[in-house]
Amino acid sequence: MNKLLKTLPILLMIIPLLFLGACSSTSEDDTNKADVEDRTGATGQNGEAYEGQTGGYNGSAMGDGAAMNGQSYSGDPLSDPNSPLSVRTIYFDYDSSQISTEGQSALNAHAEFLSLNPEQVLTIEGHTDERGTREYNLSLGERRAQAVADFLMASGVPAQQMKVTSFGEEKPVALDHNESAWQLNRRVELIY
Amino acid sequence: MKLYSIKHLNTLILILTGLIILSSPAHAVLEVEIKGGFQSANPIAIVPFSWSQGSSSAKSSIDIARIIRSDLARSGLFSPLKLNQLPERPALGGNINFERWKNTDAEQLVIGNITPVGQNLYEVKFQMLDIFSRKEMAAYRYTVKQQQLRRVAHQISDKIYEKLTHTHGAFDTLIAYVVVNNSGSGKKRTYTLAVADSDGFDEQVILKSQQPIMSPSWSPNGKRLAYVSFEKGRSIIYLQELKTGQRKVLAEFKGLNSAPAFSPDGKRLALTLSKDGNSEIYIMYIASGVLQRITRHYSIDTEPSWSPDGRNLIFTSDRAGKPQIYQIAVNQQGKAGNPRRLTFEGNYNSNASYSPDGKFITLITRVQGRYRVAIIELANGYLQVLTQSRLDESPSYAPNGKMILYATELRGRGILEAVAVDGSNSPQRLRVLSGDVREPAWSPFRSR
Repeated sequence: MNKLLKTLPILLMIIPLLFLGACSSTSEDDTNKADVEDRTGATGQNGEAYEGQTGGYNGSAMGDGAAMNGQSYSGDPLSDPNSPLSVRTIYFDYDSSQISTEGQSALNAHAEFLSLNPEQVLTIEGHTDERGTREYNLSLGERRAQAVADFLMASGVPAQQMKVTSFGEEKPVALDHNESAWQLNRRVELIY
Repeated sequence: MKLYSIKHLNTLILILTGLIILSSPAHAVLEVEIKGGFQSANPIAIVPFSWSQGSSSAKSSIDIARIIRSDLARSGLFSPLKLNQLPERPALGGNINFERWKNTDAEQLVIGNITPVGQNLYEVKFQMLDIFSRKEMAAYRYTVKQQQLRRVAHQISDKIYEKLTHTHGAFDTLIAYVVVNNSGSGKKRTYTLAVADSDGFDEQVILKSQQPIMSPSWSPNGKRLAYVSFEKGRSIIYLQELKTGQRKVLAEFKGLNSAPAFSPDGKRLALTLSKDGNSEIYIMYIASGVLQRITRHYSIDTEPSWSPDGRNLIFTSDRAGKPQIYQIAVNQQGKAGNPRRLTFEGNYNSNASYSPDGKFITLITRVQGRYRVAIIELANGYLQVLTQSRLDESPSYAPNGKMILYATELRGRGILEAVAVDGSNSPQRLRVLSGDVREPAWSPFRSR
């Protein structure tokens, strides 16, 4: 987790750059051209097949959203640490279920991935920090998870590909009782 | 006791009832830290109960007089004489040299007797006498099995307390709570739902799980617990018989199944379900499973609690933007009115429940970023904050309404505290020997 958090800012920075490559990095069969809403304004999410080559995202050249051709990764994109899909946690402000801009770019990647992989099911798990009361927080966690599900749905992911749950404040990732712990605990986890 | 002023007495009454969880690390899972002494404690003599007739093998190792002494002492209201301060150990019905007792500090004298009356069966008798008037103030007899002797001791404590304070005692009650143990890595957790006697003894594990357990709620007869368990990966409401351990699923609808609360008649359960899109309050008839939808709003509605007369629910809703407490009338057919907002002070009020007399509610309120236990007098809306801590949760009234038990955090540990409803004592701390304890639920009075 800590490792992920350290790399999170970096990942967030490169997401817009990598976005297209990642979403096209899924399928072996070219036929799978889901109708994906592109929220980045970039072009070319045609799901090209590609081979070979791990870690082929040397991003800066793609800053303006140019399509990535063949510069891709053959393994499971879900286990590629450089894929924007590796962002599996969306963070929230206190008592809020508003998805941040960073969260939205990460979710765009997941939306495309899910659209291109209709057999994949995503569990969307809402969590809160420990402040306030437990049952309210359980509902708040669900509201966060639902906000993520709604976002993905608006991006074309069918409802049946998603499972929404909440654990409220019951499963903190950071156990301290201060703001730096709380901000890590106010989250939605995306679980494949 | 007669020497005490009314004002004193009130304080004593309020403090006494809450003291529930005592400790002896060998047996009790919870331990108590009584903060501050009570100088006004009333001296009372509890003579060790004598045994009659039995062979030594029939005797129980349970020392009833000792349990009574620690119940009363722990309360802060009484200071029982030490054994070496007793001038004599009269037998029940035997001669008492009152002149010698007058030379002690004690105002009352409790003597008792235990007689084995059959296979694993005991007769326990006690008598409380006023040392100055020499009159009998109370006398009771119980016939019980050996495993109930400890409970009889608490019942005797209640009788003494009631006689001297004119308030229903709460020693013979139970507490349900959840203990969480984090293993070294912090990754793996164990959640334990447990019930213990009022003094922390005889903990019974109700459920152990690697997944969260929440929201224990007592049935009005004290024989069943409803709770939320995530053992199947999501929140599901179960109902469990304490005696047999038998349990069944009450609610496993799509979405959340949360915040169960028994109606005062025990036939219905208020609960929160999100099966229709978001968290709403429902009432479920327990025997048939018939559901009545009570709220209908896109906001979060949760944490329902019944008024003692069963005619209203209060619940938390953020329909005005931030969590606040609302009240809604209900009847056998379900919703019987529109929600009415009860809290206006501050921008976070949640998890409210009624006092046993229905005149107050207790709740969590945020004060300068701190989450504290408060009470509101319903007649005038006056809110009083009772605690100084910063992360309070789950306030639960004692069945006599004199104390509130709640969860809070102290130096990184989850602990329970109990505070008098008039704020007259500093909170009594109850902690587990390892792990975090949370979500206390004080049982109703037990049927005797």
